[in-house]
Amino acid sequence: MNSMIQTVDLTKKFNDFVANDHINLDVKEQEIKCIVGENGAGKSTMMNMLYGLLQPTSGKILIRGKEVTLNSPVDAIANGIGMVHQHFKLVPSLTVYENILLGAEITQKKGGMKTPFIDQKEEIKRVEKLIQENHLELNATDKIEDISVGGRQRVEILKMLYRNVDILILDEPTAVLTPQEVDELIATLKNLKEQGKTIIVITHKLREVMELADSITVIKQGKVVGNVLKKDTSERELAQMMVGRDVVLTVNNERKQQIESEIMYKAENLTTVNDYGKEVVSDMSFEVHKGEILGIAGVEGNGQSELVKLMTGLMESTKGTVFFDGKDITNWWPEKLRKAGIGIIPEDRYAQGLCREMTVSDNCIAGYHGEKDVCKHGLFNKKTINAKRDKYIKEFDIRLGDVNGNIGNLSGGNAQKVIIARELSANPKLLIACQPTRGVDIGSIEFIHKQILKFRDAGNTVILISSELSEIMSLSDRVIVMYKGKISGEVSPKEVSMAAMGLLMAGIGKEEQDHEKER
Amino acid sequence: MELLNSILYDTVYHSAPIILCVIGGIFAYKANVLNIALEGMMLNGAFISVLVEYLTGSVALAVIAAIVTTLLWGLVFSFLGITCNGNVIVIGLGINLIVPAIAKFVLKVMELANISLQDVGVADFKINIPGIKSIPLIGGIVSGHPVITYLAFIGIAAAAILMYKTKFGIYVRVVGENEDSAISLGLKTQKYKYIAVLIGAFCCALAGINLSMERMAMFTSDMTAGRGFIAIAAIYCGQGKPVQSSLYAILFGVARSLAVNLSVYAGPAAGMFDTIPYIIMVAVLAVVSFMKFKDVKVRGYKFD
Amino acid sequence: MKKKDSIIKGIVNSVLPVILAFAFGAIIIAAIGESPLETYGVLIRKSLLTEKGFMNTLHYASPLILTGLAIAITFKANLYNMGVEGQMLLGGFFAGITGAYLNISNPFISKLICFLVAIICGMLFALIPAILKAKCNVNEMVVTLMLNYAVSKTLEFLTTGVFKDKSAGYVATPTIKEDVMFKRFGASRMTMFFVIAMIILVIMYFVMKKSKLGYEITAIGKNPEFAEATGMNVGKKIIIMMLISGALSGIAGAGWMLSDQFKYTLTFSANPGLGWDGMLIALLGGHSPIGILIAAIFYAALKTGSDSINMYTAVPKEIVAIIQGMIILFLAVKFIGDKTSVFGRFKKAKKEDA
Repeated sequence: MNSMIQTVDLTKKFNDFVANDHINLDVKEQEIKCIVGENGAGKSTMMNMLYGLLQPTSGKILIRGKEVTLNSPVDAIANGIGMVHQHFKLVPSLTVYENILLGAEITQKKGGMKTPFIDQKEEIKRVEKLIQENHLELNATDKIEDISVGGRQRVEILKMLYRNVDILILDEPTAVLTPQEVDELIATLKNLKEQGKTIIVITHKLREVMELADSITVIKQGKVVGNVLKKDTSERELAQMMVGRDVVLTVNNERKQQIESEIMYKAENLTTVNDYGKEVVSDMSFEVHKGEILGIAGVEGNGQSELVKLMTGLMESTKGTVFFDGKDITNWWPEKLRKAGIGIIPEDRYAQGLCREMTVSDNCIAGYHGEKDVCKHGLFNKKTINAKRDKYIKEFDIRLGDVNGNIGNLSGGNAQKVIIARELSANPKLLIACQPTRGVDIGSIEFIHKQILKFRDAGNTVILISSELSEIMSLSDRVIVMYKGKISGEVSPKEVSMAAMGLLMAGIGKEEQDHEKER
Repeated sequence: MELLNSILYDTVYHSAPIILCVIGGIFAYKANVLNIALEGMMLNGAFISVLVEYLTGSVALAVIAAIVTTLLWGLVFSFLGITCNGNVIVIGLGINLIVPAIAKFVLKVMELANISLQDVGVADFKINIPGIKSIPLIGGIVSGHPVITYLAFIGIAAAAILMYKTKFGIYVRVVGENEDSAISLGLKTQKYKYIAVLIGAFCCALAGINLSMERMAMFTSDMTAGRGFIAIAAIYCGQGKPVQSSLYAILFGVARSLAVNLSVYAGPAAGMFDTIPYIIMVAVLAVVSFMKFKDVKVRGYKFD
Repeated sequence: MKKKDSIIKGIVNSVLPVILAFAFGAIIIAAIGESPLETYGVLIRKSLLTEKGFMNTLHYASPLILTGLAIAITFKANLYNMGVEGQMLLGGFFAGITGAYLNISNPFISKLICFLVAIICGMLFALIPAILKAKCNVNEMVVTLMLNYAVSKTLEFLTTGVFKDKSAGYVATPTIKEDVMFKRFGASRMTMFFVIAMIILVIMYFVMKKSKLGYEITAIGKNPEFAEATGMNVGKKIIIMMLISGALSGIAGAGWMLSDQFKYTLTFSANPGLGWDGMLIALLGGHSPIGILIAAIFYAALKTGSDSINMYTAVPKEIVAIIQGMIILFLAVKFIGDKTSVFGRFKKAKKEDA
C-alpha cells in the first residue's frame, strides 16, 4: 500500500521544552492508524502540526510523498486533512447545518450575479443529503446546544466530510461517549474507511485501539517508541510500551476495619438545573457511611460536574436536602463547608483548586486562609504560611524548582499534590475528591491513591467522583453510576463485571439487564 | 397636540445619534471586543466635520475627513486591542480622553471657545419629504430631519440583515461565541474583529456629524455628553441584537425628548429631567440582567 | 532572580508608555512651532525643582492618591468601577454643604463630621452598583458610568438651584466656614490633607499587601472561580470592595473641598476629573500602593506644570491632557507579557536567528 501521510524527523519545541522529538510517522492509504500514549506524551502537539494549528520547529510533512507546508487549518483542509478535536469546535447557538458550512457558506445568486446573502434552503438541502449518504442520525436544522454529545461529534465529522477530506484525524474521540456510542463511532469510522478515507485516531484507551486499528504507533515523552500492526500485538504489550514498565494499577485496598453504620453524608432528592434551565441533576438520593469510600462513576457529562458543584457549594439546588454529620448543610457556601470538616479536591485543578498566577504558599492556604494560625486580625503571618508550605512539600513529596515561584510552574502531578496536602492537612472528616488523578503522571497517581486510602483507614469518609473507571473500581467500597443526572445503579466493585458497568453507564439499569438476559 | 408633536419629533431627533452608535457598537460587542471608545469616536466625527467645514467651506470634504479620521481611531483601537492584545476597556478610555483633549488643544491654538459655522445653517440639512410632509401629525414627525437621521433608522434594518443574513454576520458571531471554532476552520478572526470595530468607527463618525454639523452647525468640546456610553448600555440591555438594542436607544430618545419638552413647565427643576434617561437605563439594565440570571444556579460572577 | 525580573517588567511596562506619550507630545508641540525641550523644561522645573512647586505638587497629589487607591482596589479584582468620579463628587459636594451650614465651633469635630458625611455619601453611591452586581450580576461598568452622569447632572441642578450662593457672581454653593478649612503650610498650597492621604496610603498598603482581604482581592482578580471555590464568597467581597472604594473617594472629595476648593462649583473636579485621573494613576502604578504614590506625584507634577506651561510658553496647557490620554492608551498594551521574562524574548530571538 502507498503512504498517505508521512512525517520525517518532525520536531516541535516550546521554548526549552521538546514536545515532539524527531517523530517519524507513516500512515498508509485507507488504513486506520491509532496513535497511543499517555497524557502529555505529545500526541496532540503532533496532530496540531498535521492540521496546521502549530508549525514544526524542524522536520517535514509529506502527503502522498510530496512535501507540504501547513501554515493554517485552511492549508490542511486544502491538502485533504480534516480534524475532529477533543473539545468540539462548534458554535452552540447556531444550527447543525450552519456549523457544518461555517466558512464555506453558499450564497444566493441572482441572474448569474453573486449576492452577499446566504442561501439557507440550499444549505439545508446539501447537509441533509450528506447526512443520508453517511447513514448518520442527525437533524440539519437542530441547534447544537439542543443535541447530544454523540450528535455533536457526528456534526464535527460531517464538517470535515463536507470539505472532501481524505484524511480524518480524531483527537480522543471516545472520551465523552458512552460505551454504546463508542461502538457506533467505531462502526462509522470503519464505514468511512471502506469509502476510501484514511483515518488517524489519537487515544489512550487500549480496548478501543484493539477494536479499531489496523496499525498502531506508540508515543512516549515526545518520541516514537513503537510501530506495530494490530494483528501482531496485545493490549498488555501496548500498555508496557506506553509507560515503559509493567503497570497494572495495584493499590492494596484491603480494609483494616469494618465500615461503621453511622451515616456521615446523606443527599435526598438533590436536583438542579443548568444555565439553560435543563435539569442536569435529578432527584439524586444517596448516603455514605463513616469510614467508607463511595465511588460515583459515569460517562462524563451525565451530571457529575454539577453534582460536585452542588456538593462543594459552587451551585445551588432547586430541590432536595443534604445532611453532613447530622447537620443540614443544603446550599452552604464553600467557606462554611470547609469549616464544618469537608475537604474538597475540585474537578478542574486550575479553575477551582489553584490559582496559577499566585505563589505556592498563597495556594497552600487557599480555602483555609481565615484560620487563626495564618491570619490574625485580618493580617497574614508570612512565617507560618511559609512553614506550612515547607511542611507540605516535605510530607507530600512535592517536587518544585522554585519554592517562591508561582504554582503554574509545577507539573500537573505536583500541583495536584499541593491541593491534596492542603485539604488533608486540615483534618477533614469527609473528603470530596473529584477526578483526583486526571492528567497526572503514574507515580503521582499511586501516591494520591495511597493518600486517599490512608485517609479512609483513619476512619474518615470519602466521596470519589471519577470518569476513570479503573480508579473507581480499585478504590471504592461501593459504587453508584450516574446517567443523565440520575442514579442508574448501585454496585459493589468487587462483584460487578465490566460489561454490566458499561450497561449501567449507558443508562440500562439492573432490572432491565436481567430482563434482557431472560429474553 | 403641539406638545405631543414636538415630543415625538424630538424623540426621532435625539434617538438618531444613539442608534448610530448602537448599530456601530453591536458588531464589536458580538465579536467580543467591547468598544467603549464610541464616545470618543463620535466626538471625533463631530469635531473634524465642523472643523473642516469651517476651514474649507466644503460639506463633502468635511464628511469625508470626519469619516476617515474616525476610521483611523478605529484602526488605533484595533491595532492596540486586537493585534497587540491590550486591554480594550483601557484603550477605549484612553481614546475617550485624547479626543476631547485634542479638540480643546486645537480650539486653543485657533483661539476659539467653540466653532460656529456661518456659511451653512441647520435648515440646509433638513429634508422635507414631499408626499409625507403633508400628512397631518405623521408628516410633522417623520419629515424635516437631516439626512443622517434617516440613515440611522434605515441602519437598524441594514444592521439586522448584515448580522443574520450574511457570512460576515455569522462570522462575527462565531468569533465572539467560540473563537476556537473559527480558528479551526481557518477563518481569520482578527480580520472580523477589525472590521467589526471599523464599522463602529464609521457609524460613530456619522453620529458625530449628525450631532454637530447637521443638527447644530456648531461644535463644543463636550457636546457628546455621554451618548456613547448610553449606546453601550443600550447594547447591553438588548444583548447586542440590532432591533432590541436600537429600541433601547429610542427609549433614551423618548426620555431626552420628554426632558427637553417638559422643562418649559417644570421651572427650576428642569435640570433634573436630564438624569431621567440615565436612571431609566440603569433600571432597565438591572431588570434585564436580573431576568437573565435569576435561574442560574451556578454561584460566581463573570468579570469582563 | 525571578523577583528581579518581575520588578523590571513592572517598571518597563509603566515607564515605556510614559516615554512614548511624551515623544508624541513633543511632535505635536514641534508641529505648532514651539520647542518641546523648553516646554518640558518648564513643566519639570516649576513642578518638581522648586520647594514651593514641589509642595504644590504634593498638594495636588493628595486627592489623586486617594482616588487612585479607590480605583485600584476594585480594578485589581477585575471589577471595573468607573464610579469613583461620581463617588468623589458626591462626597465633596455634601462635605461642602455640611461645612457651610454646620454650626460647631470645634474645628476638629466639624472637619471630622464633613469627612464622615462625605464617606457615607461615597459609600451609598458605590452601594448601588455593588448590590446590582452582587445580586443581579449587572455589568458594573455600565451602571457606574450612567450613575456618574446622573450624579453630575443632579449636583449641577442642586448647585444652580437649592444650594446656590446668591451672593457669588457665578454658579457655586456657599463657601465653607473658615474653621473647617485646612490651614496651608507656609507659602505653598499644601495642608494636613496630604498627611491624611499618606496615612490612608499606609493603611491601604497593609490592606492590599498583607491582609486576608488583599489576598482575596488578588485571587478574585486572577481567578474568580478559584476564589469562589476556596470560600471567598465573591458576592460579599464585591460589596466590601465597592464600599471601601466609595469611602476612599468620599475622603478624596471632602479633602479636596476642605483643602483647596472651599465651595462646590461646576468645575470642582476640573477636567477630566479627579476620579478619571485616579484611573490613570492606578493603571500607571500597577494597582500597587507604592506605584500609586509615585504615579500620583508624577501626575500632579504634570498638573502643576501645565499651569506653568500656560504662563511661560505659547503651548496650550491641553497638551498635558493629550499626553495623559496617550499614556493610558499605551498602558493598555503590556509591552512585556506575564509569560515571557524580560530577557527571554531577546534570547529567543537570538536562538531563532542561529
